[in-house]
Amino acid sequence: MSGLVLWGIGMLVVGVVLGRILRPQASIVLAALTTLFILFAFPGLASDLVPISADFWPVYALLLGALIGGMADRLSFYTWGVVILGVIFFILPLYGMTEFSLKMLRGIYSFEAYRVVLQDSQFQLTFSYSVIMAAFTIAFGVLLVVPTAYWVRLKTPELRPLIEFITLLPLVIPAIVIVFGYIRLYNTSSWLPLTGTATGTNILLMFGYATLALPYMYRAVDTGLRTIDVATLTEAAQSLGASWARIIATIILPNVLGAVLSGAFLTFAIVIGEFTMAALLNRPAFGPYMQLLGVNRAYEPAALAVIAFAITWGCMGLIQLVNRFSKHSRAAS
Amino acid sequence: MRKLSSLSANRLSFRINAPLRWVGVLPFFIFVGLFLILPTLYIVVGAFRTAQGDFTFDNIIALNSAVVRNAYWVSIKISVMSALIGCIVGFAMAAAITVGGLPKSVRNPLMTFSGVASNFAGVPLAFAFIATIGPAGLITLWLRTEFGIVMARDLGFNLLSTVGLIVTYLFFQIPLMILIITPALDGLKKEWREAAAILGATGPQYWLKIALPILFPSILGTFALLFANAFGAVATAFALTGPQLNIAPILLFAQIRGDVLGSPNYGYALAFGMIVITGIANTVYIVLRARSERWLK
Repeated sequence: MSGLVLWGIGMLVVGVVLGRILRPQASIVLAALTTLFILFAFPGLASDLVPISADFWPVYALLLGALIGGMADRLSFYTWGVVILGVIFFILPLYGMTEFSLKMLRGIYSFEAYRVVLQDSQFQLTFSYSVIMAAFTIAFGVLLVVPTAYWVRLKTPELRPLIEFITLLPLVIPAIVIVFGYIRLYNTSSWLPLTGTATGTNILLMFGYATLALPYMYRAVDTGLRTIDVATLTEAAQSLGASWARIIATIILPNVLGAVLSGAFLTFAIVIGEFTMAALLNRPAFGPYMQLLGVNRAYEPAALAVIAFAITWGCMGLIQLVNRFSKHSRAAS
Repeated sequence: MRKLSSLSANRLSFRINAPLRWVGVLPFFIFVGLFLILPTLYIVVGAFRTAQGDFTFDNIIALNSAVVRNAYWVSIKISVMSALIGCIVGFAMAAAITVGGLPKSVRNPLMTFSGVASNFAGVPLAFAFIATIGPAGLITLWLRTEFGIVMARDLGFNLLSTVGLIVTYLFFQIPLMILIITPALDGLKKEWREAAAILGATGPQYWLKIALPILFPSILGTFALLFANAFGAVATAFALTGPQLNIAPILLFAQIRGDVLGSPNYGYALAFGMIVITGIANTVYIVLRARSERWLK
């Protein structure tokens, strides 16, 4: 804690006391502070118009304190204040990484960092590897989870608490512990030497990803099954002579497609950036590639962060879209 | 006679159906058995075995070395602090958008954003913070050129430290808290507040005596979840500080890669310790969530 910080806190307290006394004038203080805040947000503008410098810190603290004290009776001021401060905390890193990623060429904004990253053969290799792994993980997850969740709802409801508990375990056991177990259990001298070959390790990694995604996938599908009448649909299909495989593929799956897609997009978001498992199993995935680039380069990692954030945002957006769409169709029918 | 034969037929069909009922869940149990339960059990058992396979407590006792103790301690400190601040800030923000009466146009984007941010962890998150408040980050440079404040010297802040890690973890901890606690806050019934007001309770009294006691299990439970969330995180810390920072998951990472502790069984014990800690935290979460559901349905 330097003197500067202590000064600021001290002036803040003085400001609160002043604000309590000068309550009616609080709105004026608010206006003054808002102006200053806007100037703060645009450093270029501020340095041209007002001499913002460290010397004025106590004044800002005083004003802020007066604002807090003066508005003490207004609940909405605090609720807005909390949300705005929170949003600033969230926006700054996103703004920072975007700005940083555009500054590779000295003095101008450019997409140079993105160009370099996208043209890097390692990037193309690892990214497509992770996309393919995600696709396989999703396919495997759907094949595993949909029939299981369906069967549990229909035939063995007494197993539900147990299965729900098991599907939550990957949130309890850290991924690094699970993959540690894989390395010891499926090494070359074991009964199932998966880590002996590249294909075997890929399969093992895919199972690991499926394990990580299990809590989300299972919950999504189970919620989807709750909205349909599983027993009636099954009996109707059976009375028309459908087999189990057919019931699941053509009756149950289309009915919970929205939920399955939600789980799939979330799985994609998890797999695409996963680091620990891929790094410890020595597979050329996107997560370890990003980490390695972070050690060696300055601007490219920021570009990667922007890309990764866009992917996460895209996956979440698609989930919302799917949910809205499936709700819509249900309401219409 | 007919009755008897139909009875035996029933019994026969039951006998065939009984094992069939379990066939449907068999693939699931085989999968989680092989790729979740068995690997974890292998670690747990390994923690109590010597290299020759005999039972021992030595591995657990060996954890009591300065390096390992320090790693766990720093890990716990980071997890507790990031969970605590995440809980407080997340609760304040969730309260603002629910009972604080902010418009839906604030609430919906914030909830969507929380969904994204709580999943934006790992390596890219570390990059975002390095670009912003790292040694050459945007804000670091801005403070230096505009104010003459050197972050590391004047504010005592260094991103590549435990404090920096806590700040970075908050980026997914706060949204997670918002996502989990908002439904709980929505569950607070208007009637409770009105009943309290009729009996003469003030705003703070209502919060202290009614709302917070009802929400307390949810808050504490989510705290436990956030703790476990931070405790098991490897990628963010690894990308931020590299393998130097001595926290439990990174120590385990180094141990798996290069056996830095000198015996594979110490690695098992280290991993076992992590399971125990996240296991306790999650048990607290599950128990408290069940309790909070009694009121908030």
